[in-house]
Amino acid sequence: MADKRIEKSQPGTESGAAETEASGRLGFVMGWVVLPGSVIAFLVGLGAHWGARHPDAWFVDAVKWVAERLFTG
Amino acid sequence: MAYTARGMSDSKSLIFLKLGVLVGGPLAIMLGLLGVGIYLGDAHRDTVLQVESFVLGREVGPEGGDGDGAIEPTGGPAEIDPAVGDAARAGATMGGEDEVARRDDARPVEGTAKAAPVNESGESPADAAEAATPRIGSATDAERPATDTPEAATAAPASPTDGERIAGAGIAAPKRDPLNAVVAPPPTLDTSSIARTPAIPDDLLGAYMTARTLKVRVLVDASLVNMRPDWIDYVQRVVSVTSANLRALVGVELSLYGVGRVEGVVEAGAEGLVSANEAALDGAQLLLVLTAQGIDSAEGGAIPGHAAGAALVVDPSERRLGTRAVVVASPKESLPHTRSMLHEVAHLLGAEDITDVRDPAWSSGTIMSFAPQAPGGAPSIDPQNLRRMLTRKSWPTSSGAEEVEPSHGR
Repeated sequence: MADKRIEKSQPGTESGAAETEASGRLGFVMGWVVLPGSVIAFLVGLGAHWGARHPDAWFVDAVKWVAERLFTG
Repeated sequence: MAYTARGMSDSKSLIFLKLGVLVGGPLAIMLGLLGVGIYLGDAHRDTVLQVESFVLGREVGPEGGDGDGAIEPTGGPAEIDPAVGDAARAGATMGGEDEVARRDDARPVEGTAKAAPVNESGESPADAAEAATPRIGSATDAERPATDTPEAATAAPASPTDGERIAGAGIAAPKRDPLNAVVAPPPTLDTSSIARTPAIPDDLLGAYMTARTLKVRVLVDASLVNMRPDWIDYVQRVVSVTSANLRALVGVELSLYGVGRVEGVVEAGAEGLVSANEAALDGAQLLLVLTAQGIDSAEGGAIPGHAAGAALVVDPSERRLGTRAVVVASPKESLPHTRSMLHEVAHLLGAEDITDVRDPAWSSGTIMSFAPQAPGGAPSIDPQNLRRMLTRKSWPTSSGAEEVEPSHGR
């Protein structure tokens, strides 16, 4: 049992390297795709919700004003 | 370690720069993403609302369903004062009616004015006034004869607590003694006068479910102050009941933003829009001018038996809601201005009059029909105007520049 445990956590072995690589890939995906994507989707979704539900609010006017300045020269 | 003053300053600047980048950068990114979302949400409002409605999975009860959501008042008290209600049911007539009946220049401008249906009275205006006028309003004004002239209103003493005042120095409400005031029972809502939720088409469910609150500024003229010394309470009740009805019909609520007065007597119909147009919104989204006046149908209205309110409407191509309207009284109603206010706000939301007797909606009891209707009862809306209002519901209110005379007889 003790040997197996050691073997699993041994980075130098072949299976340990594979696990490290897999967790590294998962970490990369989670850290660089899923989490940022969720945050971005949440922020854009929240903004869309506000923009749709509060067409007369000042922040909607402000965003439209900025967009007009940016996109219409 | 010895640092020079210049070195210290540079080091501090660097720290602040780093701090600014570390905090400001993410903040700017967050605001940018929110801004993108807001822009997209505003540009594709209908889609967003439909998606939200679909995701939330909320359903709207069909016509004749339980309608529980429709009878919740959202504003202030809406109970009808029994004394006032009795007086109104007995045929209360508003001040100024005789004067208006004699006028021959009260015809609404074609295409601009949107007339509000008013229930036809079976008795003559003079008789009704004689019978009901002394009982209108609070007990404190029971002995004060109602008059039609603005001069009489001018002579009334002013109350410093009676709301804001926008123009003129001559119009005032009688001062009431707070110590001797009659304590009214806790207000409740007469649910029989509140509309039930109509049958909403599937494609408009999202729009219906999206709550919209419009801030309303109400101005009353001298004739209404003369008629109702408790005009602030009265306005609160009328707006509250109208809001409850609008919420049930199209999911729009009215929030009373301010109450004030205009100088003199505001004409009913399109002429009154001049007064409405001159007054400032002052932060509100809608401005409604209430008058006790009404146009006698024989004089000014196209259809006998109807007084006319008026609303400044915006061409649909502008994708804006109208903001200003004149609301007249319907003497037979327990709250005489409720139906007219509902009708005019519906105009501001895009609804159109139904004046053709061959139209199936003519006799359906819709608030937009000119057909004579019995006083009391819950208002309703016809499917065509329901669609118009729900389609326009999310549009922003007009800034004033877009308000045009409709040329196609809306």
